[in-house]
Amino acid sequence: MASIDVAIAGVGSIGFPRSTADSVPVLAERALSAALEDAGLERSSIDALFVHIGSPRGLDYDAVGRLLALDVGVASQTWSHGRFTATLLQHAALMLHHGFARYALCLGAFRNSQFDRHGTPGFPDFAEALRDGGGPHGEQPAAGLLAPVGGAAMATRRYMHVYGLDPDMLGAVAVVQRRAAQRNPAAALQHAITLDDYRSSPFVVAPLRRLDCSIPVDVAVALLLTTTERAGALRAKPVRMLGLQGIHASPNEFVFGQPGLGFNQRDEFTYKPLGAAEPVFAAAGLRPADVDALYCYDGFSTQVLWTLERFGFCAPGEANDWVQHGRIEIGGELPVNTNGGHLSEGHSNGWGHTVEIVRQLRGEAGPRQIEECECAMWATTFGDAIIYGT
Amino acid sequence: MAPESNALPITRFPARGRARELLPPLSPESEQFEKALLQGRLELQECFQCMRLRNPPAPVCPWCCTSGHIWRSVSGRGRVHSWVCYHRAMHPVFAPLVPYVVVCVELEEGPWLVGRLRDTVDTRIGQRVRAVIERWDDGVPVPAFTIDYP
Repeated sequence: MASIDVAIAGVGSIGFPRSTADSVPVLAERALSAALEDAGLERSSIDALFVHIGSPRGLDYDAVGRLLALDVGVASQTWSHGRFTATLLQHAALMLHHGFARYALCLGAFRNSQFDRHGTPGFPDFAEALRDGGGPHGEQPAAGLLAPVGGAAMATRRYMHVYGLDPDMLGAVAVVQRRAAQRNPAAALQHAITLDDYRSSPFVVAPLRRLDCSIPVDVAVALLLTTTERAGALRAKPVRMLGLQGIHASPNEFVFGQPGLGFNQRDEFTYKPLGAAEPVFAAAGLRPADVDALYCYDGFSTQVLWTLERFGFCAPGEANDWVQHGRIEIGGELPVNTNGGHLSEGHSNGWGHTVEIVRQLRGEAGPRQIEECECAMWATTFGDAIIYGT
Repeated sequence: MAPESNALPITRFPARGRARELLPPLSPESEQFEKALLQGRLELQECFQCMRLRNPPAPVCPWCCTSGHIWRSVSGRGRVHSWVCYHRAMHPVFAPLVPYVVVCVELEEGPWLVGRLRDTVDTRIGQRVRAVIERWDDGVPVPAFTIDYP
């Protein structure tokens, strides 16, 4: 079984403001300085750089190296889509594990506030909707199917139909994550919402409502990774990567919805998730029941449901019942997105979730702290996952 | 060339815009697709080996991975597989049409095809629909759907 021995040794974040006046380099530097202070590490020790979102929303690796006064011999940068956060961390971990570098900076720094709404022509990746074969979220602009929310809504409608779900009950995820955000001073949205607020929230693309959609924010998160052994000599308590699993791609994979759900996939079939047999659990030597907190990509609220089903926390079609009655709240059976997630903390492409994982596993989450939190998991609708522990 | 007698109806896109600006780059595949639409035919790729139809066009069959294909004319009739309703225009072209419905249709011949559903803001999964060809201001044809009353 593939395994690595790498840990997050330092974190820095500027919080998740709706907009910022500062440039991305200034925000990134603020996050990096905080991470170096957190770890007790010198800037000159960083010899590898992994950048998530490049220009124009963020900064490309070469600009980061130049403007943040780094000197690295290993650098990489992923596609400017949120889905690659865990992949970026995994690539960094592999390079560290195999000795290509000693200390890696993984950077998620980008400003959404300088552009129009995601999915409109004023957003930097609009042209991707015009790819051959359809856009990255199933977009077909000439057919009127525009913006990520369109594909997510199409998959949600099919999901509700296949499993006979009550659309009014979809609000539980949004309400629970907002309650968590109220305990998170860094969250963009902190006012309370109720299930009634959800039901009266306007449709954006029906069946998805405003409160099903994430809130765009400006982000700068720096994570410092090194081997667990080296991390042990630094200031902060190491947060180890116990198991990894890569992002999936195939004719039956769609960024929204589990395989077989039936929109933008080759086949429609009755989904039988691998669940506890997903490789990430074997890599970590753990089972779903061992996970103390789950963090998942929630650009839209239904992605939380699909992730719970894909990774075996509940059976296909049962997630919306499963998340009712406090089960995913702090103090519940499986707390989910205790930072407030993209829906309430702000759309950080998973960087905010990863900061929260570190804080929870170090016992530094303050009013959001989960008791005896020893194992936290990042997992997505797209199939990738990282299990973290101390 | 005059449309065939069983051709799909060709009509105007009900708003103003240039479809070419909202479509993937022109290719031999999209030229074939559009040429057929202008003659009232909806054509999809059919695998030369396993004879399954596929959409969107792809260099190999997604089931048997064979590369050869022919273009096959399909009926344009099908049922709503899923649908959404846009309450906001994500592109200015569609602003006059809001609220508008987009359907993912399972065609009688199997493949799925996405298009706007004309003349309604409500539908249901399983609804019978049929294809209509809409020509935009630049003359480019794009398939849409209308409810197919029995």
